[in-house]
Amino acid sequence: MRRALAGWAAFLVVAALVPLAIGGDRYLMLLANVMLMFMALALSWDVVARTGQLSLAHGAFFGLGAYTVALGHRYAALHPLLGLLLAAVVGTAVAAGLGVVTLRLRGIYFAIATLAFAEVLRTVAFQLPDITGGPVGISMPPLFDGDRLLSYYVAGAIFVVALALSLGVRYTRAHYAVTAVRTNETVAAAMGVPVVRTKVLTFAASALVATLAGAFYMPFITHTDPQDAFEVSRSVAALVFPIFGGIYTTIGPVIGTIVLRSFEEYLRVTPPWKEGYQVVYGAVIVLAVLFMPRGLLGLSQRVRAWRS
Amino acid sequence: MRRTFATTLIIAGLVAAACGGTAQPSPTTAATQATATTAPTAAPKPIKLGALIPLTGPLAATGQDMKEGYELAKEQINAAGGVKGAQIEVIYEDDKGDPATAVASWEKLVNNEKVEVMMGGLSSTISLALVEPAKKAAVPMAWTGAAATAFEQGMQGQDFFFHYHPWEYQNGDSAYAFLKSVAITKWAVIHEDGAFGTGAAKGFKEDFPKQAPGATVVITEAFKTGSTDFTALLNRVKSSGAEGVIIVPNTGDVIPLLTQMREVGLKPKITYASPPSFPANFGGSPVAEGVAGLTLWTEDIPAPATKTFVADFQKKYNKKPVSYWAPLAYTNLVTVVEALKKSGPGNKAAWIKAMEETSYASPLGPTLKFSKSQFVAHQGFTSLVTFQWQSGKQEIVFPKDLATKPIK
Amino acid sequence: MEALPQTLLFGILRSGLYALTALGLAISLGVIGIVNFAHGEFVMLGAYLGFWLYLTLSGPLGLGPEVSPLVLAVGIPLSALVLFIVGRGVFRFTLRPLLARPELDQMLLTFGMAILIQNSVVIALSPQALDANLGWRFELIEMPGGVVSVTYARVAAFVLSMALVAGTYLLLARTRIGKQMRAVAQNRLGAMVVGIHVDRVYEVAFGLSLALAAGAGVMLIFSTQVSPFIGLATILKAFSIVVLAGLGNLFGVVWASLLLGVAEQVISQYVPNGAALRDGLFFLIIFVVLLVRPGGLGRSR
Repeated sequence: MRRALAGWAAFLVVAALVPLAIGGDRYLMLLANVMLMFMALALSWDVVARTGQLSLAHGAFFGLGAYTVALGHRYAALHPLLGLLLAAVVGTAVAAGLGVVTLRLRGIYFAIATLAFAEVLRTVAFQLPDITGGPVGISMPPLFDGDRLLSYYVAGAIFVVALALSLGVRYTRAHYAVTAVRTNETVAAAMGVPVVRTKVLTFAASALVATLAGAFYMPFITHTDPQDAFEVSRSVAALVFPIFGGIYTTIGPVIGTIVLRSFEEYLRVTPPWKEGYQVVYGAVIVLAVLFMPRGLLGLSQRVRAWRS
Repeated sequence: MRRTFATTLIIAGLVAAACGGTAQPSPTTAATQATATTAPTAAPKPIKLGALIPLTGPLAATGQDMKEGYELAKEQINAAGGVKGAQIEVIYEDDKGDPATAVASWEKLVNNEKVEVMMGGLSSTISLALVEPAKKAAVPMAWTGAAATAFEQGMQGQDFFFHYHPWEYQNGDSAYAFLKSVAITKWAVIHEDGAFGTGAAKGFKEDFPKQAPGATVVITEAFKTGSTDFTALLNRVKSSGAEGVIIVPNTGDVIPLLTQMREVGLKPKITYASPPSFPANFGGSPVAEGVAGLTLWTEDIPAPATKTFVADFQKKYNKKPVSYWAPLAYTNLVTVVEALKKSGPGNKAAWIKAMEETSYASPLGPTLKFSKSQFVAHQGFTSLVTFQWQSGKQEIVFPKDLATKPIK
Repeated sequence: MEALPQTLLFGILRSGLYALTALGLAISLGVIGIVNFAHGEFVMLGAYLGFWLYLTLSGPLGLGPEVSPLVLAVGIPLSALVLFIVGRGVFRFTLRPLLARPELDQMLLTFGMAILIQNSVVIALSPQALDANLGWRFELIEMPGGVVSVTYARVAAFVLSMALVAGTYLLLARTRIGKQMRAVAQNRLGAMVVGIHVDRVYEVAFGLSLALAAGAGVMLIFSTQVSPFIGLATILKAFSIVVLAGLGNLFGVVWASLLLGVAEQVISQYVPNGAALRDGLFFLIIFVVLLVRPGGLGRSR
């Protein structure tokens, strides 16, 4: 555990130095900001997955965070950084409420209920134009006047919260509770694990991070609308990155995000891929699942086993 | 766990490598740099222009249309010697219909490719997300689409910003002028519930009755775009007693809506539809007859430039332009380059001045000039024409001086 | 309330295609236990096959726009056969190796497949949406009473969907392979013990699931545009129906479709601004049902 922590400390140091390597390139700085945001989202999804639940609500919490910050700014002239705190409170409270009613559902039932939750939120944002700006969406001034170095450290702070959550669940007693719940709820309950409390707490903590990611996105990108904020594909991204990297771990979601996001962006801007890049992206996911069980982590373990 | 640490470092390296990968100059720029150094006396460096359009995602079809318009203009400009001997190069980036991707593409074109002018622009949502980066970069901007008034407000006071497509309220004014000329007082408005439909519907509800005394909107109905069943809302429209129906749908909703109007027996005196573009072979469907609509362009606009454009387009692509976005993009590039010819590259103030002096007999019909609109200083086209589907063809019916057929 | 009869009629008619699409998903979920995110893309492929047939028949073969019955009569079996074979191939080479792995891996695979298929169609054909000017899409049948009329396409889609659903139920109830599927769905281990070749049953079930998707796709060109992006919209509702019916409850799919089809129509007709709110309310209903009956409306096993 101490070594893992040392490793992550080193990772954070490297991450903190990334802007030095990038210099003044606003395009790469934008990618770096978004990368941290997606790493936080991926880590938060993985924490719920550890209790054996497939959440499709993470895109919804992301949107909730975005709208909380934007509305806070519109109606209370709230600074985006205070907006982040408000979003964290709102996200956690909503998730706790949602968790209490939905977490007794399992598997695909839970997935569909969380998807339905996202659709309902989107409809609400759509249908209250006087409050939310409706389909036209909502704008706000850029974080730190568009300074991407400062915003990078805000995104970094959110990533640290996500990291702390992920490592916290791994290296405390929570790990045993969560794993027991995932493996077999009935047995876990018999062993005295508070099943419902474990699931609700994990879900709420995870939603806190997802909401923060969205709360960062809003002042960073400066405009969103219900379609964009509650995008299903963001919920999907939140699960594809961890699965690609290796779930139930901290390093898996982080590597998965870095590799897939970089790869996607590289294909997107590089001839001859350009318009065809999503075909390649889809093919890579298919091939990765087929030939890399347990993600990139599983692959590296197999390589090590083969070498020794 | 040391392994974990090592892996972590490898990942950090990977990030750096991936970032480095994207930062490397694209093959084309590398090649041009090479020629520039080996043959300094040869042709001057190409002039790079950026076009930010949707190339993937649901709006990709329109993006492709725009790209074809750009490519045609580029070919003609370069064949005619480019800008003072320098060839022009258009670099396309995808906005994917997603704000974050659009901003990334924007930054790449502006900061890494260092393009002379930013062109393109289709969806309002995307353009709204670009307001801040655009203000910050203050790079010359010749923007085709995005009609939302909120976007116009966002770009207020930015003298480097030129906008081609009429704004939402100008679309409205063109529509009201036609609708006023029809002797109907009770109207129904049916619109898709996105930004596009909601914005237009608001105009019909609030501004249209002001401009057309006596006209009232008796019912307004919203629907979610892509729904396949509209019968319930059409039933309500039917019982409202409306005599004319105004539809603001997306392209895919047009045929289902019109078909289901017949199913529920809704037969208004006139059906006025203003989708972003009509379905590809709409004229061939039995529901097209008599439907009126608003457009920036049809291939039958009686202007010499239109005829030439359609002929050139057909020659290059062996098909007709799918929508007005092709001639709009064509006009976009031609006017940007004309101004560049006057100002020379790298001179923003002179380019802006040259753009302000634009007077271009465009293939869209009217002569393009930039003038002040509600919030911005440089608005290009300000009105649209009304046409009616008659025997499978779009016949212009309003305004009278452009009309190819009377309204039925 | 005068609109009630036609509200119900349209609600019932629309439920047919819902049921057909959902049944395919229910089979892959209920029999094999695979959450197939690419199901909608297979519906889309079926629609493109139907569209191609329409173009061929009405164009080069010179039959004009009056080819609707032919497109249905030839298109459905043809595309069902093609996708049945494709489905078996897909299962054998991609899904079967994943059966022993976590559910999440299978979801990721089908998700990647969805991206791959959708974008391959964009590249190979075009992102342009297409409309089929098929006669039945526009020709009306007068309903008794004369207040309302419906297109031939609407009636045909309902009747054929229901026929295909009924055919599938017969297959499951009467044939050897059908019985094997139900046995495997109920108890995989038990089925193996009594000598059922489980992997082969899975493969056929997956092929069948895609064949149903293809049939639904062909009928879709009679009601909406064909584009590479129609998959997702189709599948979200289909998933909801399957869940509402209860996993493994293949018969429940019809009732769930009927319930949701009629509910949607009633909401659109009687709730203010209902047509825009419909999808939100649709999912609200699902949400509430799941909270009250965590195993769906049907008997859950």
